[in-house]
Amino acid sequence: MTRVVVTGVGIVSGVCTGGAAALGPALESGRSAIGPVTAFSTDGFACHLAAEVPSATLVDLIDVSEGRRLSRVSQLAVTAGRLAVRDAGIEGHPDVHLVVGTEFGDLRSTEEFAAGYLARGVAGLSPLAFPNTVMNTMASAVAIALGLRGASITLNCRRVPGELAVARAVALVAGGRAQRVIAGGVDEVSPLVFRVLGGFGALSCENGHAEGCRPYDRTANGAVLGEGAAFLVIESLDSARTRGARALAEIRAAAWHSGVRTPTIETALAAARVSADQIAWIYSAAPGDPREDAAQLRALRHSPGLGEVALTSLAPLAGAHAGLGPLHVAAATWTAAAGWLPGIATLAEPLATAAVGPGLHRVASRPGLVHGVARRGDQVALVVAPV
Amino acid sequence: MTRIAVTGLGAISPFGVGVKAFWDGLASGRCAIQPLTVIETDGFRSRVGAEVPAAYVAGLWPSRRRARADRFGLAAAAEALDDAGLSRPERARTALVVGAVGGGMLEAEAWYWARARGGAGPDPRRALASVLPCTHADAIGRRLGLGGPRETIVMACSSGAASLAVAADLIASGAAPSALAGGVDAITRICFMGFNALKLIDPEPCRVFDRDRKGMSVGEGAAWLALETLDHARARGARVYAELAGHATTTDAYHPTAPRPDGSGMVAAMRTALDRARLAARAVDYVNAHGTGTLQNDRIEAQALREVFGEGGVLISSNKSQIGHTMAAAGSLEALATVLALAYGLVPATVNLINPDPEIPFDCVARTPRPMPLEVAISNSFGFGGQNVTLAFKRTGGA
Repeated sequence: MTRVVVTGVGIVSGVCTGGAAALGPALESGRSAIGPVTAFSTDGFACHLAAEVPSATLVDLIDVSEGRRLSRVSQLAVTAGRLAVRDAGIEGHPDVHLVVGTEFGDLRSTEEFAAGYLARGVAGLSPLAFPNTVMNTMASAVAIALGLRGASITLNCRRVPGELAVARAVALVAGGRAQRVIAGGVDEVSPLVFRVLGGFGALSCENGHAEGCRPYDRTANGAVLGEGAAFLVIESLDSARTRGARALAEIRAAAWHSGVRTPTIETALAAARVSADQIAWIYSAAPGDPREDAAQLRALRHSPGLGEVALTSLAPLAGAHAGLGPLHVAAATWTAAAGWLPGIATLAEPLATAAVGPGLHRVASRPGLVHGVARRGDQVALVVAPV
Repeated sequence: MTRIAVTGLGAISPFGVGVKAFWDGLASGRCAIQPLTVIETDGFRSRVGAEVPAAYVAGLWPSRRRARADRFGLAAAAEALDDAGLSRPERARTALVVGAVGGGMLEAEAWYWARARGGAGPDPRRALASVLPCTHADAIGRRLGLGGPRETIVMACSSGAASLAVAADLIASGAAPSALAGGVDAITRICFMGFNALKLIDPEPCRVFDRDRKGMSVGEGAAWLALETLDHARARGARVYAELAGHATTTDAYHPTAPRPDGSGMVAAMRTALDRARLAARAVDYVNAHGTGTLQNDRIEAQALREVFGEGGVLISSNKSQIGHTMAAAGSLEALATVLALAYGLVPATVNLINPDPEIPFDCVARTPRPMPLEVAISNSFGFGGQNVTLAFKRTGGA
């Protein structure tokens, strides 16, 4: 069986920007990127917080030409992809596949394209903006920028598109379809998504409890949107060894099904040849929405033996977006190597006894789980272990 | 090597509801491209497209909460699963891979348009409920009891073909014993406006491979293929339409909308798919081309075909000449047409082809379908972002 490892990380988020080396200090500091939205006015909106990527971050990392040509969400993706290949030492390799997960795609460009027509009729339509209305526009931009000629797949799902993209990449490598895959997720906070989700009550807002992201907490009252891109270089262990690359951690197995009560975790554990009692920690996609958090717990409890395993989520740092899942996988490689688990930064009144609070927690040097489920949709489990 | 069998088929197309209507339409040589009614066309250079006829739409899984595309997807998926004869327990382990682009954008546009013009518009909770492409998979999976791995692939115009490739890999890896895969799209304002803005739409019904072609025509529909291992199919006594013998996906990494001028991405997709199928180029009897009717695509696809098969070395035709470009559904509707061509021994025509383009030196089966025995056929799908997918099918018996 082909063993699959992570050899590079590229992150552009409010939490940190850089390769694998940038992540550890960010996890140790526990600093949250959530704050009042700055990209647009939230006057009249139900909610006002998000985890944004500071505009200065992209200015420093994207060249002028790309800054002009690419939409902001594509800039996030291209920058993270570039950081990932640099981190893995595979710059200029064309035979690399790409899997990008996204929940909302480039809705900002879609809205701008439609607004052009509504304001000026046919003359207001921008041929340059139209390709951005298709969700694969970020993958296309990354492939062009990095010269990637392998398969380029964009995956869309609710809540866990980033986890699913990493899982698909693991399958491509494990199945012998690819030696190396860049995989991850990207989303941005757009005014339309923010307004609509806020209006539907899908985001945290002041309602007796403060607006904020508090997974597995009794005061949780909704998700806070985040944005950014996180990509991993997923590679066969043989390929990594042949080129003398550093392996950050091994992804022993990935499984995904639809629904909360499907045997996703059991399938991943069985494929990894790991029993539930060997799992030392779990990164969970819990976003701080009580119904979504409950779905995560139901899925975890559906798999016997995981109920008391230390449970964390980085959503209070980075917000809910497609980059969160790959950020969890990247953090899992750090945990597997360092033996520290960053707790839930906002946890004060735990709903689940296994949820760990702020600060770093010592964990055993054993495999862990990255897990996520959308309440009425997809469930993904990845088993991450020290190499 | 795991052999993948096609054991169930389902379709909604501009020819109507069901696989039979689709095949009858293709076999008749009719063109379903007509004046558009589902979206406003005032002021655009083209006013035609290939819609699923309104008389058929009304009966498809009616619900005020479901988007038009969801209803196409559900109807075709139910047909394919019934055709495959998968039991309820088998469906619970079946993977679902959906190629999608527009999602429920048509309904979201109605809300956005009304709001922008100061009107009340439809209830946003309904109008936006299906806006994401993944809602098709949610609707189909939940309604039809598919509990295996689920993925929504967004790869522009190659989404439907890519879904079949991903599904075949899922089965080969052992992640699921069977899969339902395909694509679905409804005509949307944004898609129609966008291709108009790019000047890629022919004012007349598209004239694929014709020297006077001026672009594509938009279309809509859905098609699903039920896939499983050949051993699994034989063990349960399932009818096998064809074998998905190989597939490949490549990227041009060249331009957001234009194909790489040397066609190398397309060539690599075709050659890799044939290599994986352990087939020589000379074994291919027919290519179901991407064939959009745009100047660039048809010329570069012909150049790539020439490199793989030699000048005039294979028979080609384009279903888009009959049903328009059905976007995310195109790859799967055309895969379905390829499977049926193998099963029935009939090559669908490239209709509206009057003056062949000398830069496309192939027999394009102009105007009239052609009966001939076929053993191997490939289906090409190419999309924005330079995404190239080739599927190679082998005949395994009669329909």
